[in-house]
Amino acid sequence: MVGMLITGLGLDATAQSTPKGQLTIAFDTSIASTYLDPAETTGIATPFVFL
Amino acid sequence: MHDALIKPLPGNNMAACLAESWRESEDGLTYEFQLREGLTFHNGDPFTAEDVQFSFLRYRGTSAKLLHERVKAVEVIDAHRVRFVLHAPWPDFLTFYATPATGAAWIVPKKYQERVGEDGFKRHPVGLGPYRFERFDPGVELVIEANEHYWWKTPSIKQTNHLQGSAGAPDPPGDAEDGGGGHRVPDDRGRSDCRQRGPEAAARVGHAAGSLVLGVPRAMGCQIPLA
Repeated sequence: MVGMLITGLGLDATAQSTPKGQLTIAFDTSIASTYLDPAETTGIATPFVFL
Repeated sequence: MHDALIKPLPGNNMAACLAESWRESEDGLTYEFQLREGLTFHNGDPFTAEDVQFSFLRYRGTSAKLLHERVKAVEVIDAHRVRFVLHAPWPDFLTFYATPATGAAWIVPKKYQERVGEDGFKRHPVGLGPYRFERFDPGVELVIEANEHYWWKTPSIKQTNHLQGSAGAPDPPGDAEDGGGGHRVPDDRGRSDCRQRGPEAAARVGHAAGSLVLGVPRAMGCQIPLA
């Protein structure tokens, strides 16, 4: 039981250390360069998708 | 790309992030943050209390006037401790400072920002978050890549492309069984197919062969290639 748990944790750690794949998201809004700067947040939720 | 001293995480609307702890004085006039040690920005600069002070003073977002009026000083105690001193007790200070209501607690690197300037930072932002900036083609796409050294956990997805809907061409006639009205977003790498859709249409699409379709807010449907 303990062995299985340790193995499982090991696999999980290995998986976490290697990001894989590509995620593509289509937005129905223009991405403004100000969305990438925390100092420019305007009180709407959209910038936090990118921040 | 960026990270905050405190921010919402699953199960906790005000979770310790870049600040591993904080405490409010009994008179309500000071908030002292203990920063997480050993963190570095995406460009390798170390994260210190000076970055916190700099980010607050630089903040010019929606609540800048209110925050800057009510905060008397931001004192760097040492490299990993910073103290906010208020003019008067303000029970809602953390609600304004440390939530997405304002974004004021999101941290940028002082040395890098001063070196490249405002325009340089906009062209190539650097942060402490789970993804680092790769490229931004205004009107077309934003590409970010996994930061394998993120303090909380390593991101699962290596690269994320945010395609702007305006980059797509209208759906061809007769291809409206998914709800129609969407726009096909071109993918020159052939690794994914992603369309702008209404939320109902995205929900109906379900799983496609080799891809996982996510329903996300703001009328978007997208696919993650699994291979």
